[in-house]
Amino acid sequence: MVLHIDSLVHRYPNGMTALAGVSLTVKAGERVAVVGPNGAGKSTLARHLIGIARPTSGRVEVNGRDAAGLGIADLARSVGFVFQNPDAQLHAATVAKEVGFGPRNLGFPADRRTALTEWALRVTGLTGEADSHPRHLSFGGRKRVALASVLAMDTPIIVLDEPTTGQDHRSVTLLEELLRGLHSQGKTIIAITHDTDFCAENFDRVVVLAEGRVQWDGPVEHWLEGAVDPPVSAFEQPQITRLGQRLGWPTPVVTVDGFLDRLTDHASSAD
Amino acid sequence: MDMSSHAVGDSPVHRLNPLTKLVFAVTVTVSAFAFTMIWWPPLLFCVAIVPMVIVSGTQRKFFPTFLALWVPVALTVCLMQGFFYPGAHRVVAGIGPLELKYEGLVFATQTALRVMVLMGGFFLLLLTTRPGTMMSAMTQRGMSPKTVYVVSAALQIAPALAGRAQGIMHAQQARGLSVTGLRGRVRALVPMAGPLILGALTDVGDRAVAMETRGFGTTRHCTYLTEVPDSTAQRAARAAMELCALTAVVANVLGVLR
Repeated sequence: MVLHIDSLVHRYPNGMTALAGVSLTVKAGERVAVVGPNGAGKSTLARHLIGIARPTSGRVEVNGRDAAGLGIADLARSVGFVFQNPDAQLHAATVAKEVGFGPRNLGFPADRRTALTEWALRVTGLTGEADSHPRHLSFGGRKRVALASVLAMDTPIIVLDEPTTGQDHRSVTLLEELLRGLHSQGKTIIAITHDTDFCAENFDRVVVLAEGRVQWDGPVEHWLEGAVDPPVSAFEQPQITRLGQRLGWPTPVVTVDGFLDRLTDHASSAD
Repeated sequence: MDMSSHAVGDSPVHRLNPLTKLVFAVTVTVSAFAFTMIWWPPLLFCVAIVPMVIVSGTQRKFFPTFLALWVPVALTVCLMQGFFYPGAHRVVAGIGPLELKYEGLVFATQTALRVMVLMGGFFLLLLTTRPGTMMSAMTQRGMSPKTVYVVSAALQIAPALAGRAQGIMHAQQARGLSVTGLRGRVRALVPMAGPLILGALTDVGDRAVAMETRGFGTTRHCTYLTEVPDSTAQRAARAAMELCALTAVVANVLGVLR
C-alpha cells in the first residue's frame, strides 16, 4: 500500500470537526476519486496527504512512513499535490521555469530536470507556451501549468484537488489522456472532484465522504449504479447512465465505451 | 500561528457596538501616550485591556498573537533607541563600536510599553468585531462608505496577507521548497513574494469591480443590511471615554503628570 490512513480526526481551531475518524487504504497504482458534498472534508483529507494539515488524532502513512514525522517538502518527494487555485504558486518569469521549479527543489540532476520539464510541458499541451509568462495565460492555462509543475516532480502519488474546475472540454480531454498515461506508468492517482462524468471515465474506485466520515467506498460502477444514496455524495449520474435508463436497459452503463458496447450487443441481438 | 483577525464568539465584548470598542481603543492609546510615567501604560494594559480580553473569552488567541506581533516591535525599538538615541551619554554596555545607552533604553521601554497598549486595544477590537459589523456601524454614524472601507481594509490587511502568505508557502513547500534555516528562508523570498503581491493586486481589482457591480459607488441613500445595536449606556460610556481622552490630551499639553 502507498497510503494508509487510520482513524484520522481533524478539528480546526474554531472547533469545527472536518474529519471525524477517517480510515482508508490506497494501493500502488490505484485511481481513487474522493467525492462528497461541499464541506464534507475532502480537501482537508487531501491536505493531510502532503502534510499541510496535521492530525488532531489518528495517523497518516505515506509509503509506510508516518507523515507526522515528515515536513511538507519531504512528503513532496512522494506526493505531488495539484492545488485547486494555481495562482497560489505561480511566481516564475516563464512557464518552463515554473515547471522546472519543483524538480530543482528536489535536487534532480540537470539532464533529468530538463527531460521531466519538457515531458510535463508536452503532456499538458504547454510546449508552445514554454516562454510565456504564466500570469498571461487563462485560468485554465494556469491550472495546466500548476499540473505540469507537479508532474515534473515525478512523484509516485499524484493528488488533484478539483482538477476539472475552470477547464474547457479540450483541456479536460487532455487531462483524461494524461491520467490514463500516468496510470499506465503505475502512478497512484487520487482526485477530489464533483465531476461525475470525470469520475466515471477515469477512476476505478470511489470514496464517498460526508460529514467528515467515509460513507461508502467501492468500485465506481457500483457507485454510479446507485449503491449509495445520491444525496449523500451530492452527485448526479452521468448523462450516459441516465440515457441508458431512459432506454430501459436493465443494468446501468457508466462510460461512453460501455454504452457503445451495449448498443452493439442490442443491435446484434435484434439482427 | 493563526493570524486571522476575528474570533467568533458571543461574549458581552463581542456584543458591544463596534464604535464603543473603537473609542475604547483610541482612549487607552491616547491615555498611554499622554502621560510619561513608565508604569502608566502597563497599568492601563492590566486594568483596562486584560479584563476585556478575559471577558471576551479570546485570551487563547489574543495573547500568543499579540506577543508574536509586539515582542519583535519592542526589541527593534529597544535596539534602535538603545544604540542611537540622540544626546544619550550613560553607557550600559558596548558591542564593538556601538554603545548601548541608558537614556535610549528608558525612552525605548516607554515607547514599547505605549505601543503595547495601542496594539492591545486595536487587536481586541479586531478580534471581537466582524469587519462587516464595523463597516455598518461606522456608515450608520454618517461616515462615507468609501472612507469606512479604507479604514476596514487597513485594519484587516495584516491578517489577510498573513493568511494568503501561509497558503502560498504551503503550495511552494508542496513542490519541495524547503523554508527551514536562513538559506531556505532567503531562497523562499521570491517564490513567496511574487504570488503574494500579484495575488493581492489582482484581488484589489476584482473586489473593486465586484463591489461596484453591486452598487457600492451609488450616490443614493443606502439602507443597511444589518442594524448594529446600540444603547444609551454605550453612548454614555463612549462620551465618558472621549472626555477621558480629551482630558489626557489637555493634561499632556499643560504638562500635568510629566
